[in-house]
Amino acid sequence: MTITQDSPSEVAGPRAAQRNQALTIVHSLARTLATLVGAVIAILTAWTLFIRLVDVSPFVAKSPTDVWNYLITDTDAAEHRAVITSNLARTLTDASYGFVLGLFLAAGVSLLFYFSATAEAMFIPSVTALHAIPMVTIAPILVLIFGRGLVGTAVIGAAIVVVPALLTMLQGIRSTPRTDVDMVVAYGGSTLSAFWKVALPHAIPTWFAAARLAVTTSIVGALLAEWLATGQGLGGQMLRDANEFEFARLWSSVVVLTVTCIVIYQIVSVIEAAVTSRMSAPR
Amino acid sequence: MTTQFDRRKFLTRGLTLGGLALAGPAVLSACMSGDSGSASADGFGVASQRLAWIKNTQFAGSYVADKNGYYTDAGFSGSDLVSGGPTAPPIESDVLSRTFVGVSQVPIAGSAVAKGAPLKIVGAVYSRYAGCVMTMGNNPVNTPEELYGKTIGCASSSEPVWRNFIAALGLDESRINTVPVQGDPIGMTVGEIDGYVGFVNSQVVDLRNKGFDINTMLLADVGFPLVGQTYITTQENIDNNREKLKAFLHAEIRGWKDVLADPQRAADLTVNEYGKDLNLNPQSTYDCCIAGNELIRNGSAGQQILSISDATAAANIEAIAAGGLNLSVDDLFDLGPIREVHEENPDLALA
Repeated sequence: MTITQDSPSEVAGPRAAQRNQALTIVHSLARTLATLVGAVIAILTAWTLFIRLVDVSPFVAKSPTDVWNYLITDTDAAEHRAVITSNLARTLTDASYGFVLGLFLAAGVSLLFYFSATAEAMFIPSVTALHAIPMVTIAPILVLIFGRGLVGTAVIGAAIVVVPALLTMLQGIRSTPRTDVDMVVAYGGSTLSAFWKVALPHAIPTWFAAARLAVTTSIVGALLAEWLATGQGLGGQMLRDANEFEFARLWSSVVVLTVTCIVIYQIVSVIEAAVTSRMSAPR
Repeated sequence: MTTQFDRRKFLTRGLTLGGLALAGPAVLSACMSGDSGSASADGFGVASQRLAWIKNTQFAGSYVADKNGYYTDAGFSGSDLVSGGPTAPPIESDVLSRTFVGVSQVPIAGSAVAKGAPLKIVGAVYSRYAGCVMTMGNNPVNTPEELYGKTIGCASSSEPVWRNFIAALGLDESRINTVPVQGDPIGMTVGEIDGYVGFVNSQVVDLRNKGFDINTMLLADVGFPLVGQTYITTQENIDNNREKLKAFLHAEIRGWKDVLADPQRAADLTVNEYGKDLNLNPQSTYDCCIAGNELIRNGSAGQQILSISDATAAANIEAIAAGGLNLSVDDLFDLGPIREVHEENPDLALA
């Protein structure tokens, strides 16, 4: 009796949950698209108005139409796109180094701080203060230490990514409800099992929030590394463009980079939404 | 739930930015007003000039011209020296929309003209471009071929000239490792880079005064015949404000003649007055000024400074053609005004 009654509900439960989860993702995707379109229209309007109003030569200040022509309708547009795309690929590769190293460090340090309140009290002020130092001033020193290759690029990127990511992650792991931890401890669980069963599941959604923030910061980090260390990628190209009067390419690169950032940001947001809806228990 | 909140925040932030972008221009244009550079009833108005760099000794001629009243003598109500620097907007952009004249470099002005900007080079302070490859005395580069296998640092502002140099001399770009070094070439003194594309009248002097043994190879001495510190202005100014342009060049020539005659005073003016905020070292500044003066003089008697000969202009065009800029002498240079100034004032020629 009890078995026949229980089994259908046990099957229906997860199915409903799955359907709900799929719906959440579809909703999230739809909203993402709507936000994207709205943001693009707002940016294009502000940009056009700005160009119209400021007193900057049209040889330097390019309008959305100029960028469209440069990338789409010009006779050399395919060549223009090819140059920007190959440099973008390089920049995204550079950004991924900083992204991975930065998040890895932040996750590691946030766990260290979870287990040692003393370490946190000791280092949090200096870590936050470090973030206030402009990277432009310390990057040349990082270059001297770590070189101009993969390691140098990763370190410069990570240096920008790590602090905001760490603060976000710490907030997550701290939001662990005290009562849940107490319960695990009351039933004889160790600190470690309290961490595995309660704290970590609470922390993981914020890791994705940190990853979402790190998308843009890691790209900024990659550009900085390219400006100051390697001279490659979109960062190096954009700086040369400004000095070689290639303003159409400069503006086009900025647009491509911005769109890429928004797209990646939104993709990570969708992943984050999925993870959050899976990981956070209804309360 | 949290994601929805974040998105709203994202939108709000976007709107805030949009609002700033809308409010910005009004504020900016309010700041920019009052300097249109057009001739007013009493003469030519303000002699506004966008400098290529910060107010160091590279522009001493303009400081002297201002201090000694040469601009006002020429019919201007005063002068406005707009400082440049690593974060300043492009010189060509300022000349196209704000200032009467700007100081730039041949390849950069050439790139702008190739893109259709209505600009011309109307004179040059240095008969030889000040750019050089600086190296440490114990690891010197004295010929272009010795650049092969070396790592050379280059600021982004010098990179067009550097790439152009490599192309003009027919060097193999892939065998020279050019890396970005923005700012001081300190990395060279510890061996992080082998050389740096600097200026003989700037970083070279600074490092030598810090006690380093610095070797230099002037790009102009190894087959790259660029002039340096070129004055650029718009075609419209040449066509419609020719007398104003000639008056400006006249004042500049007088200022630079004084710098050649009394570099100590020029250095003092730079350190104590015009470049006061930069806290320049008096000895370095004097040495920079002397080095710059060597670039102004071309060694001929009766030299007409700031002017450019037809042969030199043609050589400049040929040099930048190697870098991919296909322009004629008339596309890039208009030397009529400066030559007229010298013809009308024979006393301006050097002794």
